[in-house]
Amino acid sequence: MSTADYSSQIPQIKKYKSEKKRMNLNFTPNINLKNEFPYDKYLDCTDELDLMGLRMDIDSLSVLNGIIRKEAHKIIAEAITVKLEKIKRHKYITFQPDELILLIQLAEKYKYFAEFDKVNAPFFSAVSGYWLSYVAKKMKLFYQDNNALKYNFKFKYIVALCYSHKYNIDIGSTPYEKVITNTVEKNWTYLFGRIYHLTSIWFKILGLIILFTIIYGSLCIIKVHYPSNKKIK
Amino acid sequence: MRKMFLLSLVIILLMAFTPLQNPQISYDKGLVEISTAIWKNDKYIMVNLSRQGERIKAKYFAARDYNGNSVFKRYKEWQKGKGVILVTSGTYMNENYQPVGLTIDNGLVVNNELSDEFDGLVIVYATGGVVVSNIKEGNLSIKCNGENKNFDIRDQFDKDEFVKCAEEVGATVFQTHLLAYKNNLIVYPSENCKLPPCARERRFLAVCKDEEGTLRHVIVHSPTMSTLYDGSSRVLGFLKEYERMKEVVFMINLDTGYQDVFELYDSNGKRRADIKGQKDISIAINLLTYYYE
Repeated sequence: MSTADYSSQIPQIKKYKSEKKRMNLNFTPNINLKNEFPYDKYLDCTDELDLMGLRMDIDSLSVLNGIIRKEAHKIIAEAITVKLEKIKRHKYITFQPDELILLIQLAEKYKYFAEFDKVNAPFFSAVSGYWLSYVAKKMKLFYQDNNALKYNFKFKYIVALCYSHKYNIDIGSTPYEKVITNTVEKNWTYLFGRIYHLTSIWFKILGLIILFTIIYGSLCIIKVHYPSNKKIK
Repeated sequence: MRKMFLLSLVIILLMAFTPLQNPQISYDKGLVEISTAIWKNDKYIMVNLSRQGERIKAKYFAARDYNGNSVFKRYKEWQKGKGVILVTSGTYMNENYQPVGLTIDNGLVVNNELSDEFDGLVIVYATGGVVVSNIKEGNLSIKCNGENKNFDIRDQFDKDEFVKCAEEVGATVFQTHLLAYKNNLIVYPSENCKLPPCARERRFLAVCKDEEGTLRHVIVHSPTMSTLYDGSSRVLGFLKEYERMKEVVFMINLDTGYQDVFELYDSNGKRRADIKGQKDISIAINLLTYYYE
């Protein structure tokens, strides 16, 4: 039995190619970097895929301006999250699954980078968390606008990706869908437990009557068509 | 023969659903007070737990574990040999029976998504203590490696650090509606509710300081049908005026809707009917329990 392969339908994040000239991060001593950092100009010179470049920027910002690394993390993170979101916002107004998948892949890159760059791990984790949370919130809004999206393959894929990163998205199912899903997945004890604990006594009685009718009816049919002792004339 | 077989099968199936065995270990009666009161024509049933000596502890089961064991199964295993005083359903879940809001269970992250809906963050320490913070105040305090640290978890950096700390100390964390905080009601009336009926029995967990300054964890059950706002308002008034609590540090909601689970035991481990949930404990998606150790 072969399994379905949808990998060709899933977009892949492009590899970074060094094209932009990095911004000089040596500022005048009087500047309040927290409030006056030129985010727009910085984003023009930066690619969010250039994680090595971002590391160098954090080092430069910290060393050249005499600020602690944590502050440099927050400034660069602000650029790559909140300020970048304003520029990219138009891509996420409607449900564009490929764009959301690419965003998750970007967040994953940052997350994996945090695993081996311990010095800048807070920065990479924070950026990753921001974008994963962003996708989860967007998905919830899209679902609220159009419940039928939950049957879309890429929607389900994105939900599963978010779930794998521990970002739950509230996608509901009707009771009938739950029965079918659990039947397909053969969760018999779960189904039985739910029926037993969450239904009224009358539902249980009705169920037993139906079950008894089916069993008794089947036995009668078997007895008529396959008698144990055939009468000999 | 066939009839005997069918009858036996039915009996075996019914026996498979025997109720949970009552915990056998007793608790110190002096630390637990169960009472009923009528105040302004409304009935209130209270379970008043004293944290003096820290013999009474809390434990929260946030979700099924990574082996797929349900909360009920985890609780059944855990409660063996424990002096359980009460067990109740905890916070909200979504339609997929997943916890809503930031949730960490015994140091393991279950849900990393900080919800905008719930401003109360509850931390249940591995040592059994419970603290609640108002997320909007941005001064969440948690003990990390012996020292108190403050976080504003609306900031991603602080949130990551807080989660790391919670993982290290094995804390259990969940979000919920904060109904009252530092003696003030902070819930507002709303025209409709998420899950009708809006008027229903209400049950709250309040942590208070009594007139002597002793910390008390109080479960208040109000059978009067009311909205969340009305119920919270009445119970807060009851705690301050009737019970004369010097300060209601915080008050949170305990589910009386889909997850209306509540079991109360006396000091000999026998189940009491003073406060009883309408649903069987096996359906609970999360559980908060108080026990004696």
